[in-house]
Amino acid sequence: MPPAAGMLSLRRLADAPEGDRSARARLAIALLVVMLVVVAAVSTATGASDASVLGVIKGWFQQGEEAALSARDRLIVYEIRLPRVALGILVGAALAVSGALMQGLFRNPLADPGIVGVSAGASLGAITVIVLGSTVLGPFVALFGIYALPLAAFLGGLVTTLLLYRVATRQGQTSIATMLLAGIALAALAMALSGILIYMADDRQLRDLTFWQLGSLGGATWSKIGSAGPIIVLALAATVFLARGLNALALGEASARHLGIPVQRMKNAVVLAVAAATGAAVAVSGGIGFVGIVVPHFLRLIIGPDHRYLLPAAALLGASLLLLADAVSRTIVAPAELPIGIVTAVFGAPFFLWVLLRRRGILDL
Amino acid sequence: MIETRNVTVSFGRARILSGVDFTAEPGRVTAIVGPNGSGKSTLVKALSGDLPYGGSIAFNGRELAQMKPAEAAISRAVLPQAITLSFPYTVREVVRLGLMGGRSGALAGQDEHLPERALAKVDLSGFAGRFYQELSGGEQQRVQLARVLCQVWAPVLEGRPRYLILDEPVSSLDIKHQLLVMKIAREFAARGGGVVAVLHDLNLTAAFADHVLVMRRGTSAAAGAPDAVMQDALLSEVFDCPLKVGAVPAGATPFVLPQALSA
Repeated sequence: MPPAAGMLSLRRLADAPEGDRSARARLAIALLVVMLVVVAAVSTATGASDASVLGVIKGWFQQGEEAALSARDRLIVYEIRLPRVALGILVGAALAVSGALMQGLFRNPLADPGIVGVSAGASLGAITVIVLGSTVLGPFVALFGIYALPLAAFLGGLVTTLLLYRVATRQGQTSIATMLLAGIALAALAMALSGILIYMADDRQLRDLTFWQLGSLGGATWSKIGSAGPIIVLALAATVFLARGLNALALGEASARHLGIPVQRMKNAVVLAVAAATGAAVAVSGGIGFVGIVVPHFLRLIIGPDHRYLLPAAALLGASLLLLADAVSRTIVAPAELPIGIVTAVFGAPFFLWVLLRRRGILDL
Repeated sequence: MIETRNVTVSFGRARILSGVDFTAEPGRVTAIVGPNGSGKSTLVKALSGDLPYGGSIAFNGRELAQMKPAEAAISRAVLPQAITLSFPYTVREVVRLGLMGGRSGALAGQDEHLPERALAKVDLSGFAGRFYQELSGGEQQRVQLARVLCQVWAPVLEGRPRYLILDEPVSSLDIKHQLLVMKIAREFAARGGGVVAVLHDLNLTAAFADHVLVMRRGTSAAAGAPDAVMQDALLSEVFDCPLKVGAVPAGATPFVLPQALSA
């Protein structure tokens, strides 16, 4: 962020009418951009190998013979670290925005694709393709190529979200207790079906699946980014048009309609965006939990719940936090690697409990 | 003008509204009164576009069922009975939602100042920075009224009157603010808009309404000016309890007194 823009935001911050947090939110977004750039740069510059920070940075700006990077360092940076950072950004943004969207849709801060079974549904879709892709689902894989896995995860997430919404919502009113309990049931069902498939898997598939289920950015390749990236970017871009409607939806479905929002169409779009972003993220990185609940909740405390700012801020913070979690997962048991899903759960689950304790009335049980 | 012809609403086999004819003219405050379960709220929900209906409901000659949400949002704003929020919105952020259609009708560039002006109107100056969830029920109701006022700030837009639909707007208010809200409704009507309000208080109705629709068992029992409608026999029969209508001096605003149920 150029300093001038920062000053401008600060001045607007002082002039803002009482109760108007939009200037503060814009400043926060600017800072989050800076944070993501720094975190991404540091993540790219560090790793298990000794490729030097200076060499890496020089390598970005120099061409040809003068480039300080050795061929080995160049390979490490361009084929291992950069794809991993790019994947972390995409997945972190997708998970955080999916959480914020779902919470807006259900009008509840506890709704999250990981908690209400959407991720489990997406996993089932992905596992189906991994295990049956070379046999029964051969034609599906042949037809969609590298998109087969994210597409299957998307379909699994979509079906789960639709079922959940159908069960939990009656006449425009969503019962939170029903939603969470239905989520448990749907997740259990998806996991049981996944279990059957895993039972059918061969040894090689089994190794892939185990690591993938715990969640990991390891094995990031440009081809994975090519398959999931467009879906995630598209889903995130669509949220620009959903922010206003989600703000209105906070008042309830009838009041949102009274304000001129085509509520049913908007809800359909939100469900599609959540399923697409969650599905694509799960397909490439497995079950990384709690990002979708921690990030939006933390941001609401600082910039407020206005989705016009919450959604982009969640994308930025989600990306940064996932890169940080990945840094922890890479270094804490180096040279081995802890699955990143374990890292996010260790930090995220206590945070979730803290939210519950602070707002016990939230479930209306 | 809001005009309904033979409006019916059914839930499953139960017919909640059967053939309601009703008119709310711009420049007037129209009150809907009636006992519990008489269909007042259902009629208001139908007018708000929340329920499928039979018959016809027209705003300024346009059939409601044909209007897209954005078009309906220009011609009317709706104040529901109570709204709870699950996210920590400030009062200003809630009121500002009324401006999202961009058709407040305020002078160009004035929209950003409307939340403060609307809050002042409902006696909540200085509340803009407070959190909605932390307010009392009556304060929340007035915040929502301020939001609704922002949506239809100009009672007449491009020559067409606009409408406020208020579902029990004074239900959780103290008497000072009951009077304030009714005055806001009167002012909106005086400037050319139309107001439809469900009211329980017959005395407020007598004091502030130009036109009264009395509902009974899903249909209209009577409609007309307060003087004409508010008669001992009619009210006692509709509300199924002995009521006495008086006026001091004779011809002034009538008041309604309950009579001892068992003498």
